[in-house]
Amino acid sequence: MKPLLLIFLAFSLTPGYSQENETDRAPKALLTEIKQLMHHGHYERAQELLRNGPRNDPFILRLLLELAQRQGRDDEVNDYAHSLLDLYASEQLIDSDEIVQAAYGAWKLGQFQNSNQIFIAAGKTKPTTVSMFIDWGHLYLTKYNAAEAEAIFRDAIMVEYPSLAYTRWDMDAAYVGLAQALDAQFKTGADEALNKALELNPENLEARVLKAQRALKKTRWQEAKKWLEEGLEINPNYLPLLEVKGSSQFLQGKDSAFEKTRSKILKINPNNGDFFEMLGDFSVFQRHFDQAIDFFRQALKHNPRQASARASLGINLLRMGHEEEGAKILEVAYTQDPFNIWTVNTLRLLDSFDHFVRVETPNLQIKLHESEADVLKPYAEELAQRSLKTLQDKYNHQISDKYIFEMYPDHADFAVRTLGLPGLGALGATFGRIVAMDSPSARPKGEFHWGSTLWHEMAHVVTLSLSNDRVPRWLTEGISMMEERQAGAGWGEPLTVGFVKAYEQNALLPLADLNLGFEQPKNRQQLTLSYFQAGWVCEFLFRRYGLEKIRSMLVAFGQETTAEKVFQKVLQSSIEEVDEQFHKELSATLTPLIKRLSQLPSMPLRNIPMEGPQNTGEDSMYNLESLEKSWQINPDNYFLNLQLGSMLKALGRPQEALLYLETALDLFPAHADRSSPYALLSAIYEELSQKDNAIEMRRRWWQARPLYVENAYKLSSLLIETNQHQEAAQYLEEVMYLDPFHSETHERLGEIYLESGQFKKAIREFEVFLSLSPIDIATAHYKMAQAFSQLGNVESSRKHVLLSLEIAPGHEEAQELLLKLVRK
Amino acid sequence: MNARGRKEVMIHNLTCADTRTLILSLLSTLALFSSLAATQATDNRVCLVVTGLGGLPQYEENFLNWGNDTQTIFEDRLGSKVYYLDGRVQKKADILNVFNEISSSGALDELWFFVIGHASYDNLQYKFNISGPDLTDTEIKDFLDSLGDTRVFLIAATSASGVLTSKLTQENRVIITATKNQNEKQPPLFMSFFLEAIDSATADIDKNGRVSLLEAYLFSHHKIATWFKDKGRIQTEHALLEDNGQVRLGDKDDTLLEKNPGIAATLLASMAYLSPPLGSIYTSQHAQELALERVRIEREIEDLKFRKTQLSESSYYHLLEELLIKLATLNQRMKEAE
Repeated sequence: MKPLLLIFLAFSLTPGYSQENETDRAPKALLTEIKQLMHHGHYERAQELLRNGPRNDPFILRLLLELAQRQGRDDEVNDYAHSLLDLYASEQLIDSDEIVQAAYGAWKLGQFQNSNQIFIAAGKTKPTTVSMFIDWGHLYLTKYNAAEAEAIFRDAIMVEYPSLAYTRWDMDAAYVGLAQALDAQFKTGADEALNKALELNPENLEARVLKAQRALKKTRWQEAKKWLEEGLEINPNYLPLLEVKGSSQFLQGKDSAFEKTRSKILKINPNNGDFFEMLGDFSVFQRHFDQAIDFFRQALKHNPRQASARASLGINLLRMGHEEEGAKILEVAYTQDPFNIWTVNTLRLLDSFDHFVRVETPNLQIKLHESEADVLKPYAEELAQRSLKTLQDKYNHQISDKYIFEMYPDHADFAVRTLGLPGLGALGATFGRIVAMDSPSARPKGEFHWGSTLWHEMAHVVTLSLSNDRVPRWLTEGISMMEERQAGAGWGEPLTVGFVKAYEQNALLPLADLNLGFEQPKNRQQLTLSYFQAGWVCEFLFRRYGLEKIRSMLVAFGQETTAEKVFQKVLQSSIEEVDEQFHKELSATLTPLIKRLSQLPSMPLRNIPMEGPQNTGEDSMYNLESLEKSWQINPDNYFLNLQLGSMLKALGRPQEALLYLETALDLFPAHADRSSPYALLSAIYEELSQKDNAIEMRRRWWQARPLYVENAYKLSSLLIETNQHQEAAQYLEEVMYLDPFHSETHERLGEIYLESGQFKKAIREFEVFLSLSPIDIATAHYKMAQAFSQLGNVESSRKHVLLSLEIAPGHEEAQELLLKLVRK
Repeated sequence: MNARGRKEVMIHNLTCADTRTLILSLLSTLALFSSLAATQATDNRVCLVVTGLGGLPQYEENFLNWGNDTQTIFEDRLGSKVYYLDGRVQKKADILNVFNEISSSGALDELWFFVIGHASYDNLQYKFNISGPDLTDTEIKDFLDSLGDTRVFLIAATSASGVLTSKLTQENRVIITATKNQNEKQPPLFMSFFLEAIDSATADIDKNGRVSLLEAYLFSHHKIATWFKDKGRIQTEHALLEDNGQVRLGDKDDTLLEKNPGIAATLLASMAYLSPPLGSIYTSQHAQELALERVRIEREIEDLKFRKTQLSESSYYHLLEELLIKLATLNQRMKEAE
């Protein structure tokens, strides 16, 4: 049936329809009245008035479309949308806001590009209205372009004069749209925008929907309830409010109330998939991926055309390790909506999996990129298995599922894998049955200890499994931070000046709100501080209550009780009481540091060395003098001692520098970067040819912060020079957690192991060395042949000696070995 | 090397670098090259080193050090006649005079020509920066062309030097450039690693006790890539090697030597050494006869390596093992004979 004909029929069957009104526009008063009726939930009366309205009025058709959509009458939605497009095609839509209704129609037909083109045409027809920008912004929001949507909503806010004619939306809706766009980009400012919307229109419903949703994410049930009750009082049948209400009931475990709301929603619209998608999204937010998958399936059952729910289903199936089904569903989602960047990026990521090598262990499928698998495999596989076993034993919990552990050489792929999960770590993440992290090649050297990150993630695997995925973020992150620090000397994050300052400035969150620091941090700094704080809280719990109690908390969280109940049940204390105890202990540790780390007025920040010695210019002597004066008054100031030591070293007075730098080291040994006393003292001892002191200082530096490869190389060289080969090997082994791609490290390690009779390790090192395309291949093969020969593996030894002699036929030692093997 | 010898090592210039054609062509001359390698001990060799303007003190110091080290190696270790020109004080006319002197001094077996410094390319000419007017590629080409049959090893350790490969490549010449084209304009580190290679056991890939020009190039090429990677910087220089107008190494995804290991032994660069020949250690008649037998087996091994791609893996390694056992046994007998 042609759309126009259907519209004609629809109107002609309506009592009171008058032929005389055929070309008229509905009066503004009528449209405003209908809009108000709809706003207050009087949908039937609104429908009746609309059907009596003029059939060619685009605003009438738009509102009819909205009503049909609300009730899931898809055929009618299509018909109204076609009618709007026909009006546009026949040039019956004149002003900007009329043209916008055709854009809206195209959008609802899935003609997104066409819709955008019509919006552009509307934008060129002056005067433009706030309402036009708001519809346009929502088109971009729907098509996953929140940044552009934000710009459009901001344009709406800039419109100076309100339209005198009828418009669908007013300025308050622009602020709501802005809040949605900011939320979608994990930006701050949404609350302020919503407050402004409510100030402009105290009856705004959509602002209340968003306010309630945001409160639910913070588990602030009463606040959410307030917004929902206020909104439902204005319009008891407003579907988005009912959907949030149902979600709130579900999240609180109010099953019967949830069922009642669910029935009400489905009675209004039996094809409603939005409600289930919202429940799925909340489940993803809580990282209950199995539950999310169920809800997304239900969403599709009610509305198979809901491409966003299908994409979310596919992505979450992948998160649970169901790669094949997830990929198939994403392919369908892509055909339904090729604009969904999450679908497209995830499909691209899946394509890239062809280039990953898979290594199977009992609990893990390890995926390494083919370009680095030869190098990473021995170390990643060993550490992944060792960490998982250690943690399972420690927490007395064996994981039953198989996890997929992925290392990405391209950080963008890691980002795609973790897209849409707020507050995740920047280097690694564990969700569902996936453990994903950057590989060492994704990060600049000297910034990334991938071994430590791997251990952190494996701790998540155990704590999430033990708590049935119900552990709050602060606790799982805190335990991971703690376990990282216990995994190796210097692993994990050391105490920083920033944390001491944050403590001093009272910037730490109360324990009861610590989760917000992960899930809705105000800024990047708060997220970093929250990780740190959570780690310290867990170390406090470990010291005060013991590991068994931490384990009991994880189990208790798995039983879906609230944090307050868990604390009472397991620790017999409230969260606040535990927080108070923690702060008391924290104060004892940090208060003495505050003075030592204070910034003195005589010492501007620019004079604090951040990367090696500075201030060797003309004014050095002047600075030295003034610093020495300051030091007389503040001999226990860390920065003064460091600065003086650094300056004296640069001025060629190393003996004097030693005194200050050793004092600085005692005052704040946690500072261990390249500008720290460790680095400067090591260099001075080497300058003074005090080899033993240099070795000891470099040892201490490595144990404080095993992040700087140059320190490990220098230390191992000094140890080799003093015939301490085994200890040298130990540091070179640890370098693999920073830079496993340095061929000389493998060569040197291989030689140490060969000489010390550790032949299997020697073979491992020479194998990796060869995979790095070194220059001297012949020697490496010869040494492998030697190691295999020592292990009695004649066949492998013969193979490698041949490979050596193929390159260097005159290699005498290899010739001798060949003859020896042949004679065997 | 006499005139006859030089004629013998010439290969027809291949217009198409198709690997298969190349292998067949090189295979036919392998035996000749092997004898060349064994006898390379050239008294009639000249080394010319030209260093350019540094611009900044650290560059100037590097260029001078590299130039001096090169001079020392050729003068003291290889016993070659060395011309050293310092482009800070010696101008183009001085350099052209030396060019004339060398080309008019009679037939040379080998010229080793090192150009160390800054250079640029103005879309017409390569220009090596010296005091006064720059030295151009045309002048270098004219000089090299004037040398007739002399084997030339040009090491252009300058920025923008990649452009020289296409301009100067010819049979009987090895052109090594520090950069892959004229667009790599940073002062190259190539010479630093090249000099390191000469005394490096690692650079001696075939473990024959000497570092060839090919080995020095491969070592430097690898070290440069590692240096930039370790520093986390974008690699601003990619060295190239053009051998005998036939083989080019160093292009992106270059796997020629990896896929066809036999080719290495056929390159002019693999037979030109940066250290003196090992003296004969065999004094008895019997040991000398065994040494000749060894050369024969070594040739057979190189022949086999050339045919690697035509054989199944198991056949190849079976044959290789047989030859290597023969070689190893022979070496043992030679030691015993001494």
